[in-house]
Amino acid sequence: MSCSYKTEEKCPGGKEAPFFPPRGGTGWYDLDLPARIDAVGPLCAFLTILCERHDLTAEETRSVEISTYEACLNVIEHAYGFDGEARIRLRVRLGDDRIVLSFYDRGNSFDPKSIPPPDMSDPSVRLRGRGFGLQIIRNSVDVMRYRLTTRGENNLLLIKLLERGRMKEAGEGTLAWSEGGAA
Amino acid sequence: MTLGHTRFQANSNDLHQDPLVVGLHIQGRFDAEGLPPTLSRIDKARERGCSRFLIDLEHVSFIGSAGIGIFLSLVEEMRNEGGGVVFSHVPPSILRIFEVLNVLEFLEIVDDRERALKLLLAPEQQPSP
Repeated sequence: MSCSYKTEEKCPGGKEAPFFPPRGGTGWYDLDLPARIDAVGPLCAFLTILCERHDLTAEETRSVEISTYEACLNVIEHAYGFDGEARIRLRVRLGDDRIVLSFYDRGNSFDPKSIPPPDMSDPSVRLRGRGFGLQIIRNSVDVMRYRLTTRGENNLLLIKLLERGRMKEAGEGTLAWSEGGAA
Repeated sequence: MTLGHTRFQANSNDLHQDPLVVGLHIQGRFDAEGLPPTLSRIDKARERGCSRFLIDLEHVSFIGSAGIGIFLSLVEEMRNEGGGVVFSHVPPSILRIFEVLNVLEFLEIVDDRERALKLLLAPEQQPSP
């Protein structure tokens, strides 16, 4: 997994941005990982540390972790069909009031909107035991949006609004900030 | 980076003398990597005729949709066969994921093993002859 961190904030002493941003600092990470199941755990572990350093609540951290895990698994299984040579790119933006996860892959297109939520009250749905990942993502983040980029990549955008942002800007928040620049 | 793997401990002897009750003690991350051993353990137990499972999640740090899928599927199968599945020591973080997927009402969750065994061995949970 490769990883780079960028920030618009000045680092003390003009040094390069640290691998982990200062606690509460804003910026973004660009990550590149193999589309393999064994790469997803380390990615989630990294994001968990990042969320903790960014002072997300335990609940928000878990939402980021599970959403990332399920989004990556969808790419690995449905977009790439378990092609272990394929890659997933992820941009993680740390904002004051939100965390934005933007996944990119070059696999089969897959618009989450085309998949209806599973009817969990139906015993046959539960018996099948599959197809729940998207629903977990939907219920864990505030925004989920898919697009095909001009470079032909699938891009899944997830936004998790943070409790501290909701408290600060109650009634004024918008979701205008999507990606903050192309990855 | 090495992460916790799913491990299985215990069997019916550890939990109860009833050979039909299988105890699964899952630890670490219960994600896609941990599914094959889970399925294998469940399949073996079912081949032996077990239809009642006590699943202890106390030391599970993470569960993904595939793991939840296995549980839901097992619950439905055992229900159809007159058996049952009871979960014990479910950490709040795992409960939250069940909640997120709106499946809490379909799962039997108790605080400790004793209550789990009581539920599993209640007359209505006995497999049909």
